[in-house]
Amino acid sequence: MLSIRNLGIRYGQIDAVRNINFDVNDGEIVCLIGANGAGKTSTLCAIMGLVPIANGSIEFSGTDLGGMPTEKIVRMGISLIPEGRRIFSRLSVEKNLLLGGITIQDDDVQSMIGEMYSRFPILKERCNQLAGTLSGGEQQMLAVARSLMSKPKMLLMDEPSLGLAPMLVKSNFDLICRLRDEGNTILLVEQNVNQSLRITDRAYIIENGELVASGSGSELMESDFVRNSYLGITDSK
Amino acid sequence: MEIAIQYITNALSVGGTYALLALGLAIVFGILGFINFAHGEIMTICGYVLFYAMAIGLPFWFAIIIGVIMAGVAAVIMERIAFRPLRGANPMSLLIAGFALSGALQISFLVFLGERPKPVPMPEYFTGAIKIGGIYIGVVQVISIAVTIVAVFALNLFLKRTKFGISLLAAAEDFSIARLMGIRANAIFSGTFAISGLLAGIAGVLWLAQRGSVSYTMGFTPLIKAFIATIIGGMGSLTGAVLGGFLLGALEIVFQIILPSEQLIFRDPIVLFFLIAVLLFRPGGLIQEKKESMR
Amino acid sequence: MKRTLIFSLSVVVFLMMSAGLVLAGGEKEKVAEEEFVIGMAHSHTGWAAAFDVAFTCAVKYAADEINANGGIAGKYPVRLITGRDCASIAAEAVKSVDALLAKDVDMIALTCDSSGAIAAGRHGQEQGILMITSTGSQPMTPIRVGDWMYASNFTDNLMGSAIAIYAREELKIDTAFTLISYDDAYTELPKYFAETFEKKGGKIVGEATYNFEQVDFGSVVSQIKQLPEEPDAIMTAAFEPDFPAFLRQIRAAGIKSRVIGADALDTPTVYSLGPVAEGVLLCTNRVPVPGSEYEKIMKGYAEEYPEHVENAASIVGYIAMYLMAAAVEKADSTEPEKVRAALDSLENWQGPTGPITFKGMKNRLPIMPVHILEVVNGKGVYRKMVIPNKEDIAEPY
Repeated sequence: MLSIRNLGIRYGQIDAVRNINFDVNDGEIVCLIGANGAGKTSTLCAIMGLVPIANGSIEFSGTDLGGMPTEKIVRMGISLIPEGRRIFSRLSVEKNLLLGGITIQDDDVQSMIGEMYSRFPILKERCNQLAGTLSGGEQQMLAVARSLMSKPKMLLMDEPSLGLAPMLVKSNFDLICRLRDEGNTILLVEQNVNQSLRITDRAYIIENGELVASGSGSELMESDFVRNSYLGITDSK
Repeated sequence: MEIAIQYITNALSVGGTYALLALGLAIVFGILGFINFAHGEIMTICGYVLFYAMAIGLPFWFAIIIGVIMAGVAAVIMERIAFRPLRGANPMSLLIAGFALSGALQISFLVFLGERPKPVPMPEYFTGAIKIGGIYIGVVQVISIAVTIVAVFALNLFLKRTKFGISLLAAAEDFSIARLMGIRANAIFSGTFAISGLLAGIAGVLWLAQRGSVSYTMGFTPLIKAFIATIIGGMGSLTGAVLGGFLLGALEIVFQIILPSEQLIFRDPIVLFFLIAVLLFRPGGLIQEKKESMR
Repeated sequence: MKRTLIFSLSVVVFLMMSAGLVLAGGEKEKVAEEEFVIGMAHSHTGWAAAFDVAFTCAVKYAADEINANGGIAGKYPVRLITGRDCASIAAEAVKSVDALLAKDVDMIALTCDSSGAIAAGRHGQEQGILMITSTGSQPMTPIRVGDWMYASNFTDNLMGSAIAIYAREELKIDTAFTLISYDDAYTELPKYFAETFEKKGGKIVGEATYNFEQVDFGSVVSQIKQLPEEPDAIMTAAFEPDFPAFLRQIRAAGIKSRVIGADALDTPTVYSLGPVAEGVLLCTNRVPVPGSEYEKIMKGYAEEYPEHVENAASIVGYIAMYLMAAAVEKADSTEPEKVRAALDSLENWQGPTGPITFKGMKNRLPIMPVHILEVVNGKGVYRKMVIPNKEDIAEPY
């Protein structure tokens, strides 16, 4: 569904991402793993057209996304849940959802909002509240719901468990699994390596802008490299 | 008492005009992150359109509508020509582009439309006075206040109730995320300038109702006042811009009254001094809005 | 052979020399026809452009007329050199005048922006070049610059006094309120009005001040309202955009005093203000009376400069050109010293709109006619020509 070939991203003189190749197939959860500044978020931003690509190509369902404006990429059916959620805190919950559905037919918007409310009943209770007043977990739900409003074919999630209480981290991963089971394709960026590898179909490990390892979740869980460099750190946390 | 009412009416009408202009500046700053220094010239354009529309014999109200609409159109064209090519550039470049545009427009007005002010006659009922009890209140003042209230209310309704309005608010809070929702950046740019231009047009009509003529430098003083109002109100805050406009208008009137005649030349410095004091205590302006860092 | 060569060479050289002499002689002939060269240092941009541009057009129009008749007194053709734009900024005016001084002009007409005229005028003063203020009405300009600078328009003190005389003698106005702005020396004109007005037995009952582009005159309105009696007249030298705003606000507050303004009110805007402007008195250089000399001049002028016909600065430019021509003719020379002496001795020179006198006047400020108009049905209706007596004119300060 998504295929990335020789992707390079440059900020001025600095190479943020160098020659990355990976694929996401229909119905999969694919995880990008790496430390802070490894180039994961840059990759997601490049897919969304928020940062220009220096070389290589990004293809979605056979269409080259290179140079396409963000709003058009969204209309192709890709939706990003940004790091830190970035909900519109000065707008009400309902308006956040409305904005999420700005690309779909007006008649569909209300039914989609209803669907989101039945999926996340707490949002319905809070529908007229300003989004900034929600708790962290509720904001995460809102961010997911807002993205689902556009009926995306593919969801990009940037560090969804960052800053959430441990209990919520767990339910967050449950939610991701549920979304996959419902047929969504998900590209997940995470630092929580342990949890991510448990649910992912395949994972790619990025260090300093380059791919250093890839494989299925279970393969990587077993590999010494991942155990030492990533899971070790995670365990000690 | 009579005099007090008169003063309050004056303060509200002057402040209202500043508020409308400040709103136009603030909405552009809030959403696009720069101050459009050619905002005053949109007012001037409205004035010239009004003059020519009336010169060819169009009825007054129709001319006003055309003037205000043309102000909106001019603002959109301005964005297309001067600001869109610089999108994403350093705000300083945009600021300088605004200055350049303002200068170029002023010189064009001078060269093509003449150096003398052009009269914009207002109908009698527009410039007369109504007597309530023992006091006279100017119709222009009443209209100014009413128009300001209606415009602010309409803008509020537009931003809160329409899909496009909500998109603008979202873009003001977080432009890149708004784009991630699929909101078209170009539409946001044009829409923002259109609203800003319409507001400048309305303010232009109110300003002209007082001064009676349009000249090529007409936009300069009000732009400065509106700029002060937006800073005092809190850059980018729409509520702040309105408050700042009214505060500036009120302060001007208050010092106009309390300063002795021979000290009146110090009115503007004193008003500014007072406003600087406000900033010392509230450096972000009256209403400070948290902005997301990534744009 | 050699001799022949030397001879023929000598012939050639002789012929060339004589030809050179003839040519040189011819050139000398040309110089004998003396031109009167006027440098025009005016503002083509900025606020002063509204007056300067029309002034320069009219000077050019008058100069063309004079040259069509063979020049001043049939022998001194006028040549105008347009200097660079003074831009209503003093520093630019200085540059403009400096450049003109380098071009060997006989006199310079300066921008009406008084700060520019004073700054640039001082350079002209050092060089001993004759200068005029164009439409500038600030009496301090010639005084500050010195004895080479002459006012070519009626000055504020003359204007203020003339209006006061008209108000007292023709309208029998007893009490007046003045509105002054210190933002520009010109808007202090009501002080001159007040001086002559009180000398003639009138009473000033109050004074208020305002700032340019103030928009709101509420405090002035209440100051007038609080007077025990509404004044017969309110005198101000305010102009656009302040004047319309002020006028509307006093009328809206029910104040019925007659409003008396100065020459800057003679604009289309003031006439288009509608009922509020009815009865407003103003003064001007224009004489909009059918059959007047002024109308005849403007008829021809309109064919060349239709856009400037209504601008009172036009007739000032026309008069100024003929005034200078009169001085040159009287001096029978274009030498600055002689022209200046002639100008100083000019008495009752009949200009197109009335007599102008420099003789016996201090500070090179002429006595000239002030024409009073009244706004009636949105038009400036001619009321009277006022030429104050020397002793009635307020002292400039």
